[in-house]
Amino acid sequence: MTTSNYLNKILKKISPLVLSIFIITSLATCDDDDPDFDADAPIIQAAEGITVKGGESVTFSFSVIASGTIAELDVTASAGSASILNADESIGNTSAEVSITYVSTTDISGAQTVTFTVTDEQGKSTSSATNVEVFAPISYGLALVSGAGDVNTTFLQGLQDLDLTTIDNSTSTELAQFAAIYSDGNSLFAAGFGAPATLSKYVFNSAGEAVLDQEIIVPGSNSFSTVEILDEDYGYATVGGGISRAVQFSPSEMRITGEIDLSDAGEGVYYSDMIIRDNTLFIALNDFGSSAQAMVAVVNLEDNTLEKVITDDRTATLFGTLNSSIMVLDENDDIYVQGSGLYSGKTGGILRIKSGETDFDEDYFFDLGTTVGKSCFGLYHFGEGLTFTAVSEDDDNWFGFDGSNPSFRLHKLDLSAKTDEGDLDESIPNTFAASRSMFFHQVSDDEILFSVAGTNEDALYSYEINSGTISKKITSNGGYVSGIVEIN
Amino acid sequence: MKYSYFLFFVFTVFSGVCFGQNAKLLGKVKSTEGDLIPGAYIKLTDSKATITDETGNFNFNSVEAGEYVISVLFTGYQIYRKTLQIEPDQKINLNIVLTEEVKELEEITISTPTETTELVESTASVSIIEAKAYYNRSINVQDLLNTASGVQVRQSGGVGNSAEVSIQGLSGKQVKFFIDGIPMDFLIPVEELGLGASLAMLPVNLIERIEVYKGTVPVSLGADALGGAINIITRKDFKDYIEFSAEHSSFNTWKSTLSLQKQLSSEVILGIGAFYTASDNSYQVDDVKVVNDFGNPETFSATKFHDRFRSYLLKADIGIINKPWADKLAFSFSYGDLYDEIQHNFEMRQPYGKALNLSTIYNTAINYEKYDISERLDVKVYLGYNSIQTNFIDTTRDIYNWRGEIIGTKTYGGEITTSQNNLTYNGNNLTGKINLNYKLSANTQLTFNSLLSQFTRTGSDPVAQEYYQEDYFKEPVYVTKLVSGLGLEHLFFNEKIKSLTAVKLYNYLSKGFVIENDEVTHTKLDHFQLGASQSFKWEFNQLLNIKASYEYATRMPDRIETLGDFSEAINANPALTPETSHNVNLGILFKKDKWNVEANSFFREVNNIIILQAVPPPVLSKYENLLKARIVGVESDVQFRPWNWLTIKANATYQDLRNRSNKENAGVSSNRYFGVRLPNKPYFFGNASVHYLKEDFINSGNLLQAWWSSSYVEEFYRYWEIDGREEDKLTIPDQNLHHVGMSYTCYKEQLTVSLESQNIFNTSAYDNFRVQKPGRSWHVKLKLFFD
Repeated sequence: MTTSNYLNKILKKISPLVLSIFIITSLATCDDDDPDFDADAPIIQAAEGITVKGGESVTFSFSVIASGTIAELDVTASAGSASILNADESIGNTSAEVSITYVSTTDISGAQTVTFTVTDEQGKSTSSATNVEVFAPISYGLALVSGAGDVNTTFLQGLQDLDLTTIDNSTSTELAQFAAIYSDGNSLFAAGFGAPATLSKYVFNSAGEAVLDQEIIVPGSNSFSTVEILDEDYGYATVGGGISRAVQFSPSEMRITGEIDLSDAGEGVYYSDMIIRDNTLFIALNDFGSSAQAMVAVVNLEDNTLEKVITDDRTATLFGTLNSSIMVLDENDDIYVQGSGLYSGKTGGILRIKSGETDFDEDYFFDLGTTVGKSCFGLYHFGEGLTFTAVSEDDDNWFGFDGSNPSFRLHKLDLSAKTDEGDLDESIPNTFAASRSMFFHQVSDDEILFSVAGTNEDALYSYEINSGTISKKITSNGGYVSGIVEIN
Repeated sequence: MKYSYFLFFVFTVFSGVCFGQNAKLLGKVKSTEGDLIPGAYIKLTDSKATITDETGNFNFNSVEAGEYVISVLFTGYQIYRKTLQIEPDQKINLNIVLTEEVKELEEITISTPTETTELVESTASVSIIEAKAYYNRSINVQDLLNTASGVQVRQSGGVGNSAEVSIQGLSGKQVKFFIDGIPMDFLIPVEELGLGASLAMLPVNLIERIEVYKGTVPVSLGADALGGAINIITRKDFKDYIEFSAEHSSFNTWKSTLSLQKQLSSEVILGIGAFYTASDNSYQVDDVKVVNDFGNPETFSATKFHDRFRSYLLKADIGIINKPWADKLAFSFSYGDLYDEIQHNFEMRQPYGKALNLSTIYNTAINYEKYDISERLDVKVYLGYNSIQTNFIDTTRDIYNWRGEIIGTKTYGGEITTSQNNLTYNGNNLTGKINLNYKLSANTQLTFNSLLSQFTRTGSDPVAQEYYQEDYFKEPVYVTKLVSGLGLEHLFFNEKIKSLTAVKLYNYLSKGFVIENDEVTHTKLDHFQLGASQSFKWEFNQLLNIKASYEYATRMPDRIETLGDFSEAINANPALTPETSHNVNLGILFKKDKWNVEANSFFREVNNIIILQAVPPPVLSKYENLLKARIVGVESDVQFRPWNWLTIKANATYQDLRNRSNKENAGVSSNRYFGVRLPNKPYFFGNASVHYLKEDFINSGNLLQAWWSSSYVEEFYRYWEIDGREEDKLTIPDQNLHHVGMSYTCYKEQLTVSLESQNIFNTSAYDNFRVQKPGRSWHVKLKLFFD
């Protein structure tokens, strides 16, 4: 038997089967046109791309064309409420732009459906639905560091308010690395630790989840070492790892808009904090004690040039971490800079750069070593007489290698009087300040929040400015709080 | 040393086991051509077997009277069987002649008896991977290890890139590697360059087999292995031959090996092995980023441009055999060299263009073996001097992007380090090992093993000296290790049950330095630890074997963990305690002619796991005892050989690794991670393969082989599973890779040509987050074999 004969034989055998399948398939798929379709019913053109923040309202319109006149209008919403603004104007016309106001509540988020129904004088109705994306009204961005052993990372989440007693990371976005967070008032920015230096901008979607929007990367660098965001148009950041440079960037557009050459500030120095006053950028330089002096780079932001490096040998080692502060600006526009004295043989202390000056004030030195008697980490200032730091009870556990014994106590300082006002509150447990979390952040005229990363609990504490009352505000069940920022 | 008394005590107690007057059976095994056959497997009963020594001799000292069927097996020869009637106190001397088998290559594809059979029949929970079955294939040691159940190899890229091996859930330093019973880090730069580059110095064609010890680690290996051990046995064929292989594959990879064995006279043998491996590793990686003028990343696919690897090694052994004072006295030396470019940081986010590692190794050794001293004692002695020089070069200030372009220059520092480095380390290791095997009776033998090593390392870095104003690397480091073990093996219940009781003692003395406030302080540490194990094998019947074992295992903190390492920005921690683990294994093996099934369950309770607590440099990080873990798992291995031309294998492993640390041991403020699955660890994986063999293909004596193999790893989380939104969590995705190949052997089995494709479906694969493995590769291999 030839091949063609063999194929013909097979085709003959299977042809009835193929024919049967064709008929059944045709019958099954050959439906009538939509029996409910009525060419005379009103036609609705729905609005698209509607968004609203939870708790707020939005107005949009539906275009209606009816073969007869419009007799009746109705609107419903899957959550929240919807109402028709111009029903009286629309009824009786053959066409109309019907305005709808959708009102959400703060507990609504995600895609909601607004269904609009038109009935004409002949009693024929058409309904059309449109989606309204309701964005959770996020007011704060919060970072937790979660994990155990050597596997831990940063988790980002949005909060509508701070009226909480506990938080966790169940709604958080997992980052690939540890990161410090910042804000330009609108979005959340995360500077990750790890090469290359990467600053990531996160926006919150309608469900209130942090979503990566755009990144700025400085290749070759190990990490961003300091970030200062002035507003949505201006931010500055320094990078570590042999790239002696600061970058100017636009937070809103996430673009590098300028560079500042810091190579004349010295090789092998780390940029541990920075602060902007008027049009001058002050960058704390950390050489880990090798020069036995405090050093600050002074940058003219008018032309983005390094003007000079100022030094002072009364203290040394301006040690700070990515998410901590050692430079503060007071109400007189004086800048205070904290030196740890670590690795240098020098005492820890606070130096001052007076308002309008770009040199250390020779008449001011707050000797922390003598006054407090122990080394200090971090400096936060919120008005006259209200300055905070963390005091190390055990310098051998500065970096928290002994995970069972946090060694920092939070103290209140008076920069003017150069006095240690003592332990912030004895009820506050010891905290891992330098190795885990250290920040004080003012969230209202009368409230400062600060983080405690302890042995038995991680929490955000509250300091009431007017009364000086301290209380535990939010307990974290998902790791220690490494940052909180305001988001609009 | 105080434990010497303990050893003496144990030895004395176990020496009390009685033994009676029995017959003696000895003999010699030869080929039909009259050549002596060392390494032949001689089996008298299911529990009484031995192998011939270098001179082809064998010896059973204490044989009870009775009738026996003696079986002799050796690769390439027909099985010899003979019935013997042995009388009390009789001395029988046999002269056995083995007839060569025609179809030698067919047997290559199945497990060779001899030492392999001995291991399988021991009490150890062990997997044997016969390398001979893979000589025609384009495969590396990591691939071979991955075929064993319970074993998982995670690699970060191509030839020479970093790798980590886990055995039944324990990994990294918890798994010890050996080459011919000597710790691998004595011989090749494991500690300096990592396991991946080191294993690339061990081509499969120079390996005889790989022994994977999953539960208890034999006394003879002499090491503080917490989670098992892998012993790579190099090729030691006992007949004259020469083999050459050359392979070319994708990404400009070249591999060649030479292996030669020649008996120069009845008392002198010569062995030579050499290899050369080179690869550009120029495979494509996806989703890497380049940055535009505004600092914004643009994602694209790039070809790796700075990941070349090159390594060669020459090894020679010359041995004196068949002397009254020694069955074997062998002198060996090897010289090797390695060049390894570093393409990117560990997450593959930052490319490098110049950083690289170099290494030169030089090993010399003397091996002495004498069996049946006073008819009861076997002695093996090893003396070795090993030198490893490594050079880490990170001197350029140029910044590279993923296109291989220079896009900037740093003001200071190298691509990887803050100081820039041209760091040379010279490590010298003096090793002595003695292994004594004493037959107390026909059913009882005592094994003593002791391994003493002294390591000295000095270094220099003129480039880093300019940065630090001091050459800290010149400070010497000394490590002295003494690991001793005593094992008692005994047969019970009509030789149906074999028991092995062992005690191990570890002593570790290290001297080094720490740097604090730019000052060098010398430190000294001394650790002592005790371990013990008990294992059983029950030969239920000819088909069914059951094995059970327990070991209280220990891993001593190593040099870097205790003394720190300035080049890696790690500080000392003298307070570290050893990692310990309760290792329990229970396994069953059912074996039929055409198929066999092996199933094992395992349990690990691990304490004081040593973890690096990293802090940003230049602050020095530190190792700490953190986390406790419990591992429970099962693994199964199935082999089916319905016909001689078809072999099907499959295995699967499920292991559940759970954190058992309370908050104090986990470095957190709550117990929420207690009982949670450990992150970044595979928990379900398996392999499958089909091998087809066609004899007399085209011409008589020619052989066609074809194979398919596949590996699978279930997706697992990078971070803890209880943290973050489920749909947003970072994972190492499912991996399912397929490899196919075929080979043709002709010209009287002297020429083999093979073609293979690995990852034939070009599947994206990641063992570590973001770090991509190669896509599809093609391999052509030529092998010439003459004997």
